[in-house]
Formats: sequence, C-alpha cells, structure tokens
Amino acid sequence: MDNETWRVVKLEQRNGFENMALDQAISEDISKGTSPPTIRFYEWEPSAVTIGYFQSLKQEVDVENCLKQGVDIIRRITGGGAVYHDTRGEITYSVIAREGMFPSDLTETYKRIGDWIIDSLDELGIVSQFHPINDIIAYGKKISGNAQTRRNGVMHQHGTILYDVDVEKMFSLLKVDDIKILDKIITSVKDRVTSVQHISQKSKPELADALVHGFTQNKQYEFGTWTPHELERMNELVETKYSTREWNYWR
Amino acid sequence: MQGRAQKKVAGGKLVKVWVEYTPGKILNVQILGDFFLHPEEGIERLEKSVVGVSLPTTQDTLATILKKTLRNQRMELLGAHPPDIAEAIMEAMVHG
Repeated sequence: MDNETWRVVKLEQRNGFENMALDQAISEDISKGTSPPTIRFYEWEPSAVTIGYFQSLKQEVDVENCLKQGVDIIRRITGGGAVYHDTRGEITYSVIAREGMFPSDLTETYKRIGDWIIDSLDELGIVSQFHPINDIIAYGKKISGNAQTRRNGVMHQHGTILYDVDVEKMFSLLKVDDIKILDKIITSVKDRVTSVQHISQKSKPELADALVHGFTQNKQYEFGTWTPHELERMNELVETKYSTREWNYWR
Repeated sequence: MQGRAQKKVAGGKLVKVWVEYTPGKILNVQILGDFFLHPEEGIERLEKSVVGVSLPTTQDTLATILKKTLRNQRMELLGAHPPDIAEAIMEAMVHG
C-alpha cells in the first residue's frame, strides 16, 4: 500500500497565497500522475491568517489589524477553523498522495498522519495523543491542528505544529464573538493550547528534523523539490484564485 | 426577514447560520463554521436543499431534509450533524 516513493521537501518559506496554491498544484499533478506522493514542510512569510473553506472572512478575521500588521489573509480549500500562522511560531506540513495510499475513512486518515506527528514530538521528548476529530494534544492541550480534503482521487491533509504561541497577537487578528470577554477568551485559549517551546527547550531546527524523521519512518522516500509545472501552476493559482477577493471573501 | 444563530457542537465545532425568510417560506440559507464537509463544494447544494421549505416547520423536518441531501449527494459531514444545523436554522428564525 505504501510502496510508492515519497518526495519530501524540507522546510521552506513562502507567502500564504503561494503555500495554498502550491498544495493545489501538487494535488492536481498527483491526480494526473505526473507528481509523486509528497510530504512538504513550510513556514509562512509574512505571517498569515487562514480561514476554513466554510467560514466567513469578515466574521472571523480583523481585516484592518491584519493589514496594519502586514499579515496576509487566505481562504483554505479545507474545512476547519481560522488559524494564525506566525512565521516563527509554527511549522506547517502538507501530505498529498493518491487516496488509495490512505484509509477511505477520514478520521482514520487523521489518525494515521496524527501518528507521524506524535512520533515526531516523541523524538523531542514530548508525549502527545490523537484527539478526534483533527487535533493532537500534549499534556491535555492542543499542539497541532489538521485539516483534510479529497479531490479527484487525491488525499490532501495539511496541519500545523505549534512551536511558540502568541495568543494576544492571535486575538488581535481574529475576531471574537463577544469583545467584552476577550480577556477571558485569551486566558481560556492559553489554558487549552500549548507549543513545543512551552514544553521543551528544543530549537525550531530540531523540531523540523524531528518532523522529517517522524513523517518518513518506514517509508521509501527521497528529498526533492518542485517541478517547473508545479511552480508555474502555483503562480497561476496565486493570481487567479488564492489572492483574489472572489475566493477569499466568497462567504 | 433575516436571522442569525450559532450552535456549539459537542466536540467543539461551531455552526453559524444566516437565514432569510418570509412568514411562509425559507428564502435563503448560509451555513458557516469550522466543521468539515466532503466534498466541500457540496455546501451550496446543502444550503439550497432547505430553501423553499414552507414555514412554520420543525427542527426534525429540516434535519431530515439535510440528512437526505447528504445521503443522496454522497456527502460526508464531520464535526457537525444535520440536527445541529437544523437547530441553528430554527433558532435564527425565532431569535435572529
């Protein structure tokens, strides 16, 4: 089942529009059979807020503050919630492969890839567990959130592993339903979210290495990069989809 | 008339709905939130399935329509259930 050779692309930085467009470009080429199953790790430069496919941008994001702070805003093709992707504060991954390489059950797939995250964190001495539907928790607090979609025979899951969290900054960019209780919300999120740096003294490169190990163990893989076609399609999708008002303000 | 409501679903997801309606009929519905629906593009079909429903209606009726649409269109909802969405739609028309 898992006998195809994976392409692994080590940690790189891109802006949010490119990050989401590249995921789609890879997915399309895997569907056509011209790209291999792929694991990529990336950061967001500049920092960005992504919203889930079904969310309203205006309801979830403080657009003015994002603009002021130079934070990009992008709608994902996956469901789930709004996420603040701090350049320093996290590592994001995408796993993109033919559907047949994963369980048909969505939750089982969250669990399968969740195990790779759990193994990576274990290498850093962090004990974590899968928390359905789509989270990984460490010591009772969320350390990783994940989102999955399936299109044209391709399974595409992306998610973040929190390295350091700035909850105050996060809530200056995301809207809360009741501003009067913002302090309470911040305290409650601090109680529910943790990060690698909060638990261990490991560096971000150590987290990046651990993720490569955790995601590739028991797999055939080689380190690789993007094909010219993937990059060309990424640029096209940035222009025609991910940076457009039609897409981002769709709801 | 228009109304909004939201429902926190067991397991942590949030369903938000916006409903436009007359005393006799649902005219428009938008289902928002941090749940998952596969395939994602099915959301508009799910929304349209409750447009035109005669009012007054019940949560059960709306939930049945939503359930049937999901089944017929082979869509999978994760993190929310048809009764949650139906409950939010009913609430939007009472309190919204």
